[in-house]
Amino acid sequence: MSRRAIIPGLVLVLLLIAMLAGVFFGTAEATWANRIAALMRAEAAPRSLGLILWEWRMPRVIAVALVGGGLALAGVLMQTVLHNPLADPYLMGLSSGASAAAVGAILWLPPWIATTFGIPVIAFLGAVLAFAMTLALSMRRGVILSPLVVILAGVAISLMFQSLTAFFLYVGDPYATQSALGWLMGTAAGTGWPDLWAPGLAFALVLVLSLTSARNLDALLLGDERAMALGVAVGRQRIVCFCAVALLAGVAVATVGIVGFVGLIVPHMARLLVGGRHGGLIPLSAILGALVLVVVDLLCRIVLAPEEMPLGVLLAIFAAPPFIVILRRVRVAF
Amino acid sequence: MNPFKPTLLIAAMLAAPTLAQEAVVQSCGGTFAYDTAPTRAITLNQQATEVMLALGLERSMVGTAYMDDAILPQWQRAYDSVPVLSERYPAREVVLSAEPDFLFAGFGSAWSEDNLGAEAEWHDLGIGTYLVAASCDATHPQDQRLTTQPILTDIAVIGDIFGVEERAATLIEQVEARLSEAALAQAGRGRSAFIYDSGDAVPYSIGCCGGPGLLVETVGLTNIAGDLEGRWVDLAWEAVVAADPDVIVLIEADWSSASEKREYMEADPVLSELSAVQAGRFVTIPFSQTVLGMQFADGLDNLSAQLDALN
Repeated sequence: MSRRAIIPGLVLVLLLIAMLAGVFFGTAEATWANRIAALMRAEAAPRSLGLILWEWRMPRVIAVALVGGGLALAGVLMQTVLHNPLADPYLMGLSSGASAAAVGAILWLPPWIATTFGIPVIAFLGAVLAFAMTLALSMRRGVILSPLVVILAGVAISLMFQSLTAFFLYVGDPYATQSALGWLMGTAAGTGWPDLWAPGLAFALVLVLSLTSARNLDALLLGDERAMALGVAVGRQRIVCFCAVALLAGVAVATVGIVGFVGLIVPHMARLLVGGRHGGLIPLSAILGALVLVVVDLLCRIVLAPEEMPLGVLLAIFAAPPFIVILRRVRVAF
Repeated sequence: MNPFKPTLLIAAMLAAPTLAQEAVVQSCGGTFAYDTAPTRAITLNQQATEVMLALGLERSMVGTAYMDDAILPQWQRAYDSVPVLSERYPAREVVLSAEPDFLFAGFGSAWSEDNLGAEAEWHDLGIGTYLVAASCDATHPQDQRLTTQPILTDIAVIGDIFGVEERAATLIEQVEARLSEAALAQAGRGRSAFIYDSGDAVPYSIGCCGGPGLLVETVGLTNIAGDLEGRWVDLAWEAVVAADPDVIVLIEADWSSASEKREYMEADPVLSELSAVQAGRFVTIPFSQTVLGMQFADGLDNLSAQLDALN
């Protein structure tokens, strides 16, 4: 009982420290006195440093925290409703749909479309389209077929959009593909305050929704039949969860591009720490996901400074080894 | 101390009369011997096409491909007399069916597997190849500073292959004079520059060893990313703010216009505070003038004139 209370608290403290570090450290060098002065908005601080901290680093750190938390939360929901430890938020074709739409808009569509709507909105629409197609493929007469059908439909839709992305990259101007590739590997650079309301709202909404249905999600872990016997409307619960995941992952993709691994691994990490009951799993996953992405984003900014790396590059390096360890223990924990 | 001296030597050697057209030329992907001058050349990439046209070799060409922007007026007629095989790299079959005896590329990507394939494969078919010297990673590694020498080397080599050594020597002399004139003027001396190629969230800039870096350094500017290894770098915006450059060099290209880059900087709450942005100290250089080729000297003149106008 005490462990369930201490661990989330501890991780939350770590997250706050990491976020503060994310604001304090970056590519531009500065003395500690100046950094603190800039953070306090003191007169003595160099104006450019104050702007860097307040206009660039702070929204960026908050954005990656929201996206990391949101993706981990979406991962928990997917793994539970699909009864599959390998499920992740992008399983229903969301990332492939978003990539195809964004890459197509960058490389292929007339520039006015990208400037009118903005790449994030186009990416979000692509994600929603792919999600709707997957859902349509996995339903018959308004009822979702088995989780396996959802997974297979997701794989098929993903592959279709991936080959569309490859086609856009192939026919696109090789010089312009640089920005498309950067987008595919995910980066939080360029995130400003106005970009925060969408991920913030989506995260808050889904967090409340999933916490209130934590008991239903627990029941789903027992299998569809037992859940139904316990009074859970399994089919409806699934569709609500899928829509919540689509919202979180779609907004995440629109904010920072494709960020893999977080949604897959962080739920497993959280399960190892507090077990599979959703009342504890959901908040811890969200905090842990935020922590992981804030730290990785900071590393992306300082490892090769003054050059900056995409999130995807470092995430894969840091996430793959723990993933293998987790996979070996997953049979016990899931 | 004249950096162009080695070329004078090459030019002098090339100017000597040759009886039969025999040339043994080292390209990036191997050595190839020419018993006779090629008559059916194909050029890939703009700078390769321009070397051929500058030497008046359009009659020896059966195709061109891959322009980055419009051809200059002085070469328009000659350019129009040669068929354009494709907008980008043509497929291998298209190349082969034009029955070429020589392929001349501007960027190494031309010889990649998904484009034309390795140079050696074409040699096996009896077709000669040459890659612009500055684009050859073997002789000009990505972490070594470029000089303007490769521009002159290309003219000399192509002159040699096509048996027009005298024309090549004259052209080398002209280009060399223009290059050293701009280098002497040092219009950007004492000022630092941020080279903005493309991208917005993370700007794509030029490290130690790219063509645009050489361009700004030749006129005396200091590239703020000049210490970074590589031709192209994903610079962090914070590094730009920390450096607070005196001048911003925007590269104008079809795929990333100078005006949209300037608008991005002016709209950002932090970048708009940079002194160069506030004072409007932007200069614009077309991409094709930053490539080490026939337009590089135009790029130097263009950049120098814009820098002088800023004063």
